[in-house]
Amino acid sequence: MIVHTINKVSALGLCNNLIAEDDKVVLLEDGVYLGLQPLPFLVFAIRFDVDARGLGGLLAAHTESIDYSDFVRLCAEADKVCSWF
Amino acid sequence: MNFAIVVHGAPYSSEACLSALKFAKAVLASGHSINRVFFYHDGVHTANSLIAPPQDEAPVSEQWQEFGTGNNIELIACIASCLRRGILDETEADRYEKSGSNLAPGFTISGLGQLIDASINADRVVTFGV
Repeated sequence: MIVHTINKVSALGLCNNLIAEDDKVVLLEDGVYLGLQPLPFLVFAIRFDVDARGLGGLLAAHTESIDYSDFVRLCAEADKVCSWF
Repeated sequence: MNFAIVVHGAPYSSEACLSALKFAKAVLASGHSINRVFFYHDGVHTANSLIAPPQDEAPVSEQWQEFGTGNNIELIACIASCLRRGILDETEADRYEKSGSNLAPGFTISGLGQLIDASINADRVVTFGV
């Protein structure tokens, strides 16, 4: 399982076709805007960045909001972390 | 578990060094370790000791210094990136006959080999891009 991090909306286009079914996607910084729409992956969004943009309560139903300790745990559970930016 | 952290973004033009700092603190708080933080490309601006933000703003460079020295974690700034951006320690300032040095305490200027070494020896490498 790979954790993919995405820090801006445009970076999704780089990795869209490279994310496997059991991979996880962590949205951070401006990437959290992607969490507003349903995506065909397991999606997590950094709560600090969601709140900083006033997006709390607006995330798509299956976008899970997480803190940095959850982010660390996801990285530890993954085989590797791939950052898209 | 051992983490290596790579930072590509400069303070004030990218959130990378702020996000990376929050992540780094969470790594230690979760009981993991960090073998090295490598500042690359514009990320080396974090190591500029002459940054003077307004008093009501979080001084992200100083926060990194405190984090590095307080937890005994190496903060490496890429030498090729530093020289091009005017981040110099005393040795490099002398070598290139510049008027002064500005590398912040707690940071070390070194080569890309340090990134390779950190990547080989870490269980996870996490990069914070621009």
